[in-house]
Amino acid sequence: MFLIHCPYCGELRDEQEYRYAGEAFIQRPSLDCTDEQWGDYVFNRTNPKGKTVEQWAHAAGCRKLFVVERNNVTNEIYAVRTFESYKEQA
Amino acid sequence: MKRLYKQANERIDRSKEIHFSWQGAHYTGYAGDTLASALLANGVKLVGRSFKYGRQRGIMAAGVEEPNALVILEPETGYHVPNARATEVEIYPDLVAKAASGIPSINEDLRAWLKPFHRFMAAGFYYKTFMSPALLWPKYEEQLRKLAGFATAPNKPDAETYDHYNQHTDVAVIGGGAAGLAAALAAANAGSKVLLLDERAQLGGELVVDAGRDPAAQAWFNQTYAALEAHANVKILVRTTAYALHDYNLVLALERRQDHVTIGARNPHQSRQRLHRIRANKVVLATGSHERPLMFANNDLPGVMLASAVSRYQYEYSVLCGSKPLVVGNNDSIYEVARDLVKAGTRPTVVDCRMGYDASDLTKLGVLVKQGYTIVKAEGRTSVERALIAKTAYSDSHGWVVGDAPETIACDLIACSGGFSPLVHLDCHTGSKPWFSKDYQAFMPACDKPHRYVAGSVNGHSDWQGAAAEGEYVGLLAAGQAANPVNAPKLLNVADFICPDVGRDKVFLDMQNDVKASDIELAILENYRSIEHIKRYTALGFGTDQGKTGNVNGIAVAAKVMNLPIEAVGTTTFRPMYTPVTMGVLAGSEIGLHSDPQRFTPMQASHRAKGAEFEVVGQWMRPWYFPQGSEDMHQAVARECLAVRNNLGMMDASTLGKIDIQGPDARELLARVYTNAWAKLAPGKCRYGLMCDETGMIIDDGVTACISDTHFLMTTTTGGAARIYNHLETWLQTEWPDLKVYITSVTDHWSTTAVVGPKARRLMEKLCKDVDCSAANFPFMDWREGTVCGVPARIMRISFSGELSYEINVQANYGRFIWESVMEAGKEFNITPYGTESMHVLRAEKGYVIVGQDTDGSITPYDANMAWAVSLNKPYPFLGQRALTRSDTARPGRKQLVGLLTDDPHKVLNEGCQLVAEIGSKAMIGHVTSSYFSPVLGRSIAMAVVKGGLDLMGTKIYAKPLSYEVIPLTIVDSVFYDQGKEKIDGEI
Ligand SMILES: [Zn+2]
Repeated sequence: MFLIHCPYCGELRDEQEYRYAGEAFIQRPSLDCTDEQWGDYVFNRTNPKGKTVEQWAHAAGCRKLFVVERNNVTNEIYAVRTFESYKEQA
Repeated sequence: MKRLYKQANERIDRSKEIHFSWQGAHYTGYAGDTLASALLANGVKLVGRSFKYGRQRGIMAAGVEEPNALVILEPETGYHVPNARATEVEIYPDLVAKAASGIPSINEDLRAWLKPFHRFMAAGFYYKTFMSPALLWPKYEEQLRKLAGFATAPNKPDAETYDHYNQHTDVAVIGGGAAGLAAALAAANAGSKVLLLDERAQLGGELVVDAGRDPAAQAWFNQTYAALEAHANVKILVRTTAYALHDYNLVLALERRQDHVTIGARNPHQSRQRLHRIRANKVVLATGSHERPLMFANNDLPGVMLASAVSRYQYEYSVLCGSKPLVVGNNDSIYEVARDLVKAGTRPTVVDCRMGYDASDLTKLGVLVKQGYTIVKAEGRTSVERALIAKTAYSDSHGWVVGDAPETIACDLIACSGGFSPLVHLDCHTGSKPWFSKDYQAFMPACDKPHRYVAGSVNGHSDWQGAAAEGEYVGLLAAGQAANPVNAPKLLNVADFICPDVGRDKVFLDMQNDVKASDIELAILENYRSIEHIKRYTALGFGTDQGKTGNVNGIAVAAKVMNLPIEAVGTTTFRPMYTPVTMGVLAGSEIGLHSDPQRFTPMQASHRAKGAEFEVVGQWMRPWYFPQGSEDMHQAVARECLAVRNNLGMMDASTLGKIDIQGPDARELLARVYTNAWAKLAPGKCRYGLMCDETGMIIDDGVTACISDTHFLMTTTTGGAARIYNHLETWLQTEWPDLKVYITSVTDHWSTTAVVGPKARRLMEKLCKDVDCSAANFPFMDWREGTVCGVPARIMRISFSGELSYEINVQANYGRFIWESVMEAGKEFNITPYGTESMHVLRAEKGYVIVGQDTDGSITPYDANMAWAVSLNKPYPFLGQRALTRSDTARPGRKQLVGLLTDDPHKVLNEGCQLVAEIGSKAMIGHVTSSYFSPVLGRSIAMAVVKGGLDLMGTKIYAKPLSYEVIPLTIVDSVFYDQGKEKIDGEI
């Protein structure tokens, strides 16, 4: 049961306030992609051991989604960032 | 066994005699006694029978590690506690306790009569013996169940309450022994807020034994305890077991608040137990260690005890566990126990497998000290009468070799010590692996997680001063202060494990589950090599004690049999909970009505007054049907349905999810999330929408009204409201942050009264003067803003029954007023309120799907025969559009939604019933999704998904319910009633 710092509320809050919202930065293919590409987009996830990049939503708080970079073995959270911050970086 | 004269620091109150019942007989103890200490003081040796062989068992330990003394408290009452450990139960006046084992009683156990067969009952016995023929297993199981297990489950509702408590602290110190006390005080003095937890009724841990030996320990305890009690920064929780340590220092702890109080004196307004959820910035684990028993034949005989427990009973409870004790072990601690026993007036025999310890002080007093010997067997009819000891020799290559010429020593108590196992459990809960110390012959805590410290005997300290010094050190560190490192732990001199080479069939490792050294050997012989597999095959450590005394010995035996170093075998995984936790405290106060929120519409009081039966939809309590007189559901639904079809009905539709969508891109959002087109929907119009996820499967449906070009009101299914809101929010924030649109949940802001039936217009004309309700000026799928009974309303001409229908949406506060006004004004039309059951029948007659009933996450719009709701030409492809052309989604032979008519019109199919193409076929081609008796058609109707069903109209197929019947039926179009949509405008 970890603690997540909401980048919008600016507070360290219990995991129970949040909703896991899947792997982050999955590219949505265009309509003319192959069946395999669409199947990969819809069904396949990287599921790494170690560092994961996930979307979380502050469900019982500000309702914002953001990115959590987490180690799923140790549950260490390396960073919590807004989507915008990645765009600025790119 | 007897009660001694008053020991200096005893923790019993001799002025308070406590009377209690054990196995139906009356006993007396003192306040401060545990059930175990009181029974020992009364000379009770036999407290249970073993799990598998029905062997006699006695009290072995003085704490939570006790494997044998499982008891039932307050049997057959609302206070029934199954499988409590007698060593933890504080006695109270009129306590009723009995053994948790014994068939029929602990004095005569059925299983012990099976003794000639015991040698066949090794590990895997049940699997091997009873699994074939497979058909007979249920019969075997029934008989075996009677023989297995310990206490019976409670048969009355729990009479007590439980609660949860959230706390935050700077430093949580777990364990109130020397190290924990010192850590708590140091951290508090350094300015930290400290929470100190201990499982026992009083702080001190093993200090109570040290205090018996050394007055300085008691003085230190008194001084430290007083300082903690007075300290503003310190909160102490006793009778509180920290049973789990999760990530980010979330400590879960069970506080026993009233378990020690006489039943009649318990405060009914206070919880029996409390679950503390503690968030600590730093955690200090001062959890201590448990002694391991020695491995020898009959080591489970009553009278065989852990050596440290014997001293604990002596100093804490002034109970002497035997008058002719034998103290035996592989480490220095046994000499201290022997000295204790001398002080108590006995003349013990000391047996040490090692040579060289200077025990001259004992020998001078006439104590027989046999070094270079160990115990090989205990003997006695009902408890220990003598011990067999034999010579030992040690070599680095072979470990201990025990001689085969035993000598006999008469004794009534065998106090044994096989070394100590640090309580690494909590440290391991977050995934740390303990490491094996060869010097200490024990698995040690890794303590490799941030914000965590260990101190005291869990870290190997054998003396209280060393433990206290380390406690103080980590207390300062936890408080963020600099501190000088302390000396390395003064480790006890412990010899290697003595794993017997012969007689393993009588050497018990896990007393609670009757796992013997020979079982480990057999498991390895059968090629179970991982300790996790050996554990599961033999049940080592599976009991309520989780192998606290047995596991490490089992690992040592496995290492010896496999000829591996112990560290290569490793431990099994330590998982929460450390000790058993009641189901009650996990549930806390979230039981009964509090287990899940109930939601009511504003009309609830009216529904109840009308005598409605309710059904739960999502969390909503919705009227199911409104019975009149002695009507059953079938009769009520038939009446309600016919009233809607022929006359006038009304329904509370307030529970539908409602999402207000505003912004310049509101229309674009709808176009992207729904499969159909939204570009041309004008203000004042409504449209049905079908929603898919990216797999192309239907996830929701509902009607959306266009309020203005930049403002729409979406409705969702009742159960899907929150999920769909999340869905929209996720897409808006991740993939489409550029869309200028806001969404707001307004489900609770509006209430909806649906007026439904051929006469609906006549009623509306009575109630609403400012809207022209004529069919020409207010057509189907339009909405109007107006005033109903003086209340501003949005009136929508949408229908879930195929009848003329007006849904009156008003601000929720007016919901009940409108409902009751409609009811009153409708009297002249004999208006009939109807519930969800009639709503389901009416919509099925029209073939309208219910998402989640007729669809199941594997149905596309095409499968649902709703191609008309799919628009493939939108500028931005809708969610799931690409998936609809994937090979599997587009293949022929997918299950498609059709109607079914049974040959026998009175036969109503069961929903979920399987369908086959031929009478004798076992190949399922589909299943029934909705099935009702239709009052207006006078026959049964059903909807189903059938492979390729849309091409099978008119085909005869069969339903195969579980009853072995075969029901013939025909595939038809799913619109059963009013195919020509002639009724939609009602009476003109
Ligand atoms: Zn937030």
